[in-house]
Amino acid sequence: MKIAISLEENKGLESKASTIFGRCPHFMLIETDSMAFEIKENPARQATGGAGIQAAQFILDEGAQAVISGNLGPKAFSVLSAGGIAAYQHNGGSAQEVLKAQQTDTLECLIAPSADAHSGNK
Amino acid sequence: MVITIASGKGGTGKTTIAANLAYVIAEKHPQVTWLVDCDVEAPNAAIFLNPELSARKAVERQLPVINPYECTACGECVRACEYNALALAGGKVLFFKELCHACGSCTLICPEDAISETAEQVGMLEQGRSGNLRFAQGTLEVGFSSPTPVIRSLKKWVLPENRKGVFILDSSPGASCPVVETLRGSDFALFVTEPTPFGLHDLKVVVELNRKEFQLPAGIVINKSGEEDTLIEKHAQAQGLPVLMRIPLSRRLAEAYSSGKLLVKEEPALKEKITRLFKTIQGRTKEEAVWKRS
Amino acid sequence: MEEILIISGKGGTGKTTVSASLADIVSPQHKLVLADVDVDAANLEILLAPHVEHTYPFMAGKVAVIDQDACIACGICEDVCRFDAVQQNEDGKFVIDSAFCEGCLSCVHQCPANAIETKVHQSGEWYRSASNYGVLFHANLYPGEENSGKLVTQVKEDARKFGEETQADFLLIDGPPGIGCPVTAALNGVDAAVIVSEPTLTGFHDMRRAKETADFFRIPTLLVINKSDLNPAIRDEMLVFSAQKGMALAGLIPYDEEIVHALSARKPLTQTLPERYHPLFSRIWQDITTTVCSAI
Repeated sequence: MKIAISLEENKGLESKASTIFGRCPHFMLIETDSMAFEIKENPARQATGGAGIQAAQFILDEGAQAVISGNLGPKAFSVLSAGGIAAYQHNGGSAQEVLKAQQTDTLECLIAPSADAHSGNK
Repeated sequence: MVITIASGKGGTGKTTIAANLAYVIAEKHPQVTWLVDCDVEAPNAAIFLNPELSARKAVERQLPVINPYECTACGECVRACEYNALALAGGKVLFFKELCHACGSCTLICPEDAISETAEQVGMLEQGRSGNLRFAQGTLEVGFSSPTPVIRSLKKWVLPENRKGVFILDSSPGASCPVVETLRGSDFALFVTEPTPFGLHDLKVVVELNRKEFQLPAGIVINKSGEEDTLIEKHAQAQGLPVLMRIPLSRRLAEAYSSGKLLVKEEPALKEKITRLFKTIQGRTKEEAVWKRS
Repeated sequence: MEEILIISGKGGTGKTTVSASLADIVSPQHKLVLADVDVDAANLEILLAPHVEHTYPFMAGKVAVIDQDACIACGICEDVCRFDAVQQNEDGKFVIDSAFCEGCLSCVHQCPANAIETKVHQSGEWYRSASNYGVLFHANLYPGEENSGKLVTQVKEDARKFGEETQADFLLIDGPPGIGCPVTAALNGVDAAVIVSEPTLTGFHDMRRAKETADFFRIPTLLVINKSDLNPAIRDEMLVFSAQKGMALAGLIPYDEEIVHALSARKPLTQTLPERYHPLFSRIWQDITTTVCSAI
């Protein structure tokens, strides 16, 4: 399965996972079967508006089936759920750690937006 | 003739000057003088003029409507949208109204002609009279972003092609897009400022805007005038801009303003000053004053 | 970190004067980060005398530019432009005025001769500065540029990030006038909005619109009435309104003609007229923190 993880930095699997979705600097796209991954710059980080939407579209187009991030506002959430992408909220840690938490079912799976619009920074 | 009142800084007295100037001019030129309130985010001139409003017009923008039966989910519209108002997920196009700039690009680009448009109200225009003075204002709906289309529609609605009449345009504070839209096509820019470092700083910005974009003949009014006027006078001189009028700092005038009174009704000396101000402006628009570049 | 935004609805009611005085009161007792997001007319620096440490270019977005060599003067760009940004000049050439271009790029897509280019446009700059009151984030939007709120967001997010990294107690934000995009961008995510108004018909009118805007974003509001004794009747109406609408009253500042002169010293009023303003703003700050902390 292909999973997207929002990252604060680009340091491989040790990268700190970001609690911000729409404007995080990077996304990791990882194949959980092979653990092969790439880290790409988030095209939405400089968006004037609709960063969450653009970030959601990006990971959809990359073929991710799930995303691990922080708060998800209503617009980003609607794009992800329309695309059938499962969304998980992490509690901090490195990409490696949050991935493990998702695989051992200890992450909260979001079934609704976790926050009001623009709550990524709080 | 179109005179735009601008300031850079908020609260210097634009609306006060605009309303009082329009009132005085209308006495000499009844029925053909207009106060046009272009501060559409917070239009206040009506408070001083108490116009009887007789006509209204909605300002609308066109939003896209995607026909799901015609849509082939090709994604062209999503790629074309510069504002992330569209997304393609689960084979359907999602539309986010709050981000839409109503530019029409998606509607034009759709290869299947699957996008039509629907109108959304973004503001309201009103016109009427206050005695012999004609009045118009625009109001931006709360929650909407751009004041510029409302200002543009307001001006189109009331300014005749031949520009016959006297139009006093009250602009919003600052020097960004809405002020640009208000100044566009005017014959004279009247800058209202106050003798404080804030007043000076913001006056510089709007003077620079005029110099860069329009080079309109211009003049300055110093409101709350007193000992600190030299702060403004120095800059005015350096820019070749005349100080055309001063209104003294006065608690009595401030009180009259606070109750929505027209200052020219309270203070005959002020009425004199404003009458002369208009004559000077008329003279200068004829001369077409040339800007000194500093 | 508590984030407190100062807005007004109506311009000129005293936002910046209030912000500077509060900064002077708060900074000795708490770790403070400051932001001036009135990017159109940034005035807080006039009173806080900051020293600019970093300058960043602000690239707003894109603008379309017509390549005259490739242009076939068909006028389709003028037809499709909904912002009146395309004009035909005296020579019959089509030109895009960047002051009006909103960067939608519809003309770029529709041009049959591929004669329109996209350029990224610098429309301002922002700064991180040091001051005696705390680190100040501020900006300048170039004259005539669109104030979409993006620069406001940039400045505020930088300030917020810095405040969180340095564990500041408060982020004090001097906001823009009006109720449009810059104000909504400023309101985004703050803990409270202090509306500085004045007892005038116009001030009251705009205060109501500012309150409506803050309510739209569910931000708790407080009221400061400047020039409070100028018109007691209107002041009282405002007090009734604010009580009915659940706005806490943070303070009343009497009309004072000496302020015009005091401001020319380019310092907060708490320094130029301390006997009058130091106790007054200390009380206002106390009222603000009581409300903000109890709302959490």
